[in-house]
Amino acid sequence: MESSDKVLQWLHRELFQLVPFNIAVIDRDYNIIEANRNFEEYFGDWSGRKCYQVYKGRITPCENCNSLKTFEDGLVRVIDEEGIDRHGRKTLYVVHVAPIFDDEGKIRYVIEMSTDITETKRWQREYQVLFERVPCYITVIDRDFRITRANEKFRQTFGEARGKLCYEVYKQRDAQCPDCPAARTFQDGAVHSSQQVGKTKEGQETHYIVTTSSLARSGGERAHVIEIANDVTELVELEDRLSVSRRFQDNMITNSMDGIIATDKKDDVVIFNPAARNIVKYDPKKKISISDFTRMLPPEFNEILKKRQGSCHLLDAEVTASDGEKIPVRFIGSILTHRGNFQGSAAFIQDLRPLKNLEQEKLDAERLAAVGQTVAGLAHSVKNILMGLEGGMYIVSSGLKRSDHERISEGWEILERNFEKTTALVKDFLSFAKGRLPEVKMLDPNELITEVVDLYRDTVAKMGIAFVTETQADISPVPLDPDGIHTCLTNLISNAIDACQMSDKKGRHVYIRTRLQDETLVFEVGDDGLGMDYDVKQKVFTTFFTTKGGGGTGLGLLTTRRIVQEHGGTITLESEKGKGSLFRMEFPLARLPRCQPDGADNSSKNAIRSL
Amino acid sequence: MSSKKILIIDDEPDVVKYISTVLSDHGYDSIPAAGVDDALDVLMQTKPDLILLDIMMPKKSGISFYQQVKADSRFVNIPIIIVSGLRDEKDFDFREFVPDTNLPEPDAFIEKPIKVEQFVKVISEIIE
Repeated sequence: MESSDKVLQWLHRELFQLVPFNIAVIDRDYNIIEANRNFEEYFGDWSGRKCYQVYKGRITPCENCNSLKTFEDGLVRVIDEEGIDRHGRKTLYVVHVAPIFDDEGKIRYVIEMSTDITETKRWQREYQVLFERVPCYITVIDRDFRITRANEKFRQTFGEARGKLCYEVYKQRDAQCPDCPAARTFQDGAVHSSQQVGKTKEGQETHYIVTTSSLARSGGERAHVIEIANDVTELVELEDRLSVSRRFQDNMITNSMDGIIATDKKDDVVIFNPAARNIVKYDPKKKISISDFTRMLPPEFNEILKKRQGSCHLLDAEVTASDGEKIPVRFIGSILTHRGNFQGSAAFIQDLRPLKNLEQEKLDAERLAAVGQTVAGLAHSVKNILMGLEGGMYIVSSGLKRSDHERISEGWEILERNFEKTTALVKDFLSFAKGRLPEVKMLDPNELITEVVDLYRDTVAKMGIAFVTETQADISPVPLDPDGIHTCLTNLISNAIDACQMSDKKGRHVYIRTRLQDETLVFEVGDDGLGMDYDVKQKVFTTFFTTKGGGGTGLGLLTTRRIVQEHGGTITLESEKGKGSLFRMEFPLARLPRCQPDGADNSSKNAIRSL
Repeated sequence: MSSKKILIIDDEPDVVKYISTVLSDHGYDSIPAAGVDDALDVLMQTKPDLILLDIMMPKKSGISFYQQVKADSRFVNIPIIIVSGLRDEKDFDFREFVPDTNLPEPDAFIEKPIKVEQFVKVISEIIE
């Protein structure tokens, strides 16, 4: 049996080699007397070398050598050191330095036990960086709510904090916050979070969301809580601004005088403002289903909604009210997308009824003005007719007195003539003043031209006058009153023919043109006959004026102008004495009367408007 | 004694006929003119004792005739009566038509339709 001493010795030797750290023993001269295998593997060859050589690759002892201090005072020291490993790489280790006493109590040797902490150090550093640099506030507090650690961001925002109470620094309060999540964590050890409002060191309000969790550092007791807070001040501000903006938008939509409607991704109607409800006569409280929606709106909009793309801009459309009435509107609708994805639709509706009423009123006013002017000029013609009648009567009467048959005949002729003039004038004027409203049908303007030209074809041929027609080929039918326009054309063409006749020139022409220009239908009737000078031109539309001697009633052009006005159009005259004249009738398509499916509607409404 | 000659200028033939008949019934000779050109021709050949002028004729010809005649020393002394259908509620302001105050006003105004007795009376007063 081996002696227990020997066993112990063996054990100590094994222990020396096996312990999982580096051991070295040095004397007062820094010589390494003994070292274990781990030491050798870590720091490299040691025999015959000085400790500062092996640990740190130095040629002189380290300043503040801890081992030296231990030799002097015999105290145990634990220090972090930086040295060079056997491969020459920088290495970090923690070393436990302890004195070895001999029998006399003198310190013969110092034992140095070290272990690598490079990895640990790295983690430590990383942790530190994380702690300091992370873009949120981190504080660690103890049970008394005193801050033991605070990171850089926290210190920047709230000021120096160590040792101060957390509610003092976060919120400049002097008492604990009522809903403190840290308190709850201290209680139950669970993670808690809440939104808080604090004050920066400059006194500015700041919003943050804080999460608290327990930090079991020592002894497993919930001694510390770590508070991690994310600053959300900007978010809160944005939310506020968004909310203001939202309210503003809602206000505008609600108070807009035009209808505003919108649907979302799921085809739910999300906006249908009061103006829109008004137009379609919808109950302000009733929810609008998508089927109501599609029924109300113009087909073009439903099309783009189905296709999930596009837009429509309708200057003259209709929406259907809840009672079936068709309301004239201007309608602009489009599909909303975001990054190519369908988001919904929006549309704007403008009620055109006030505008249309105004236009009708304007038309009426224009006609009344024309009639007013006419009445002034009427006086002159009537007086002439009266003279004629009186003259006729005088001559007949004086002829009877003298039994002068020739005179009686002359007088009678005058009476007859003036009677006819009276009849014609009265008829024309009545029809003029009554404002026969146009009964419009969809007509091809060129066909109308052809009709009237045919009427006069033989007549002009006999007179040596030629018709020149220049019509634009592809004009689609427009709403016109056939009788009305026929009257206008007849009047203008017969005037043109007369003008040609009265001219001495040979080979005169009557020009008739139609074209569609800038959304306007244009008729032109011109001649290269007499032409008019300034005075005549002034009078031509406004008085019962005729240069045709006793023939015309002078009403023709006035009637023509009235008919043109009833179609919402204008008639203008260009004329140069000796060169010819040109009458131009322009009918803007947008102002033409609407073609009613049943002609009845138009008539009944307007009958009351006539004189 | 030969009868007085009266030049009638009016573009309405019925009016000319009427007035000539009235004048001839009352012993005057009438010379009709349908327009200003005719009237000027007549003036060149015969000096009338009186001119009856319709002021409302095409192209302001009535007015220009008046101006021409009154500015011409040969004819300025011929009395002119203006016959017009113009007079309405407003009073007829001659100077609206002939603003040049160098030219004298006409000797009389007669309104259409004429009243025969009044008409003849005015003419006889002026022509004698």
